Amino acid sequence: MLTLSTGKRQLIIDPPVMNAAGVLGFSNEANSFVNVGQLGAFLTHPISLAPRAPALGLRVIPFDGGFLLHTGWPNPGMTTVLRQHRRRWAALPRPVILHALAATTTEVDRMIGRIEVIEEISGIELGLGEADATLASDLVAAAVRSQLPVLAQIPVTAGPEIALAGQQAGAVAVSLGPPRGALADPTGRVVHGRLYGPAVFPLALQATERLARELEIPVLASGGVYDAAQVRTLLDAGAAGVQLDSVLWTEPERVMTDAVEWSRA
Amino acid sequence: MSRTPAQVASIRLDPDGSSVARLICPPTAIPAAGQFGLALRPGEASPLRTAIFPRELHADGFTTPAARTWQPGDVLDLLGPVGRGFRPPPNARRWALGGVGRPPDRLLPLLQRGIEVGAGVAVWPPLPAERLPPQVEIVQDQADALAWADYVALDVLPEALDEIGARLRRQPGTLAGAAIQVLIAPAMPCGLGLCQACAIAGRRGRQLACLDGPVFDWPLTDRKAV
Repeated sequence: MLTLSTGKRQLIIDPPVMNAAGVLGFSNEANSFVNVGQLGAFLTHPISLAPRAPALGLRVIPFDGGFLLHTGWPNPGMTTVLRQHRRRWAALPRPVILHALAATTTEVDRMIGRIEVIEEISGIELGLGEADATLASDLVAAAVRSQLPVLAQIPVTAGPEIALAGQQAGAVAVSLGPPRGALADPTGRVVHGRLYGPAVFPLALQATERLARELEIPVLASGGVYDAAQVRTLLDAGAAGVQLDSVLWTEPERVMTDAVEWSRA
Repeated sequence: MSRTPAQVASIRLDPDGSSVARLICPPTAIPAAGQFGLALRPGEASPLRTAIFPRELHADGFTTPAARTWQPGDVLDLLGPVGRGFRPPPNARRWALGGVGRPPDRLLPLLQRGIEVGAGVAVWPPLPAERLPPQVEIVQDQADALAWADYVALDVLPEALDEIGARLRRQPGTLAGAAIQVLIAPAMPCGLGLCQACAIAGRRGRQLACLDGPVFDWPLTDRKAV
């Protein structure tokens, strides 16, 4: 069990295994495929203040051991997501953590102003993307004004100074997001995007070890987990919890059942 | 939509050099024309499932292009059928089936259905003659086929959506009365409407190829593809 607390609000994630943002939709879309009740929390698809259109061009490029995903995090915007999914969040059997996409503190303030009064939301995961330490600190500081527990998500390949900035700004945990990379599409055009697949796991494990040593707040590990043994490896390396990403689209039973049991051990 | 075992009964090499697998699965798992399944070999930590469209439909399964790693005897984990398939109007009797930017092999199950209901069927671009029933007309002039048809089914590369939209708008006959459906199949990593990677901008806003398609009614998709 993982308890994340701001002193005024508490988020209990039990078991400390959850989906990564962006893999299970906005609420209950994956009900027929993944049992959310087996997870400790549900993370929404990334949500921005204004609607975001899908990225242009090729969005999925496979490579040996994984694939690159370049979607642009399309979503209909916060207003529409809240209208369409708030009631569904209330019906989910686990606490809901809203993953927020914001590039400025103004955006964070406006999103927090809407989120903090919604009782169906138990926490916020703030996607910091490629923010530097200063921006990361400012964004997290703005988010923690909501008094909701704030998780600072950084790419697994980000420098530790970003995670430290998030910690110092008041984040209750750091979560690892997919690394960024680039591949050429069939026309030769270079496409930049997020990397998923078993090939990412070594990066995730290395980052977990390092951040677990350097941070005082919990680390939620993620990246390339495709079986339950890897969940245990990350927990043993110092992760306080594990987020599952693309394995939930292929064979979730490889991680879900055993992972839940292992994390309880 | 459910997960079902599908056995690779055999793999053949077609005259065009492609490997085609014969899959055996329960009838409820067989994709209809325009639908697809998402397959993987269990236990290999495959990063993604592979989207497979049927080429030929059988009572106990279907044929589909074989993935590189498949072997006869493999039992695949098949998720599906996924998406909305082709829905020809019941009264349509002149079917024009075409590939835009790709061969029309994913239209073959629809072609077979057209023959079964007694429709006249024309197809382009050409497929090897041995793969087509004799009743099918191979189209040389697409404009003639589009003007003749009362039902048009196209398999379009997402990148070619603008091109086909412009072509159809130049065909007054098709605007007048033909029902037009377009198969658009970008990469669909999850097939469950979760990742948003297959989003397509249409007249009704953002839609997902895996859930709202991959077969769309035109002009619902007569917008710049994303």
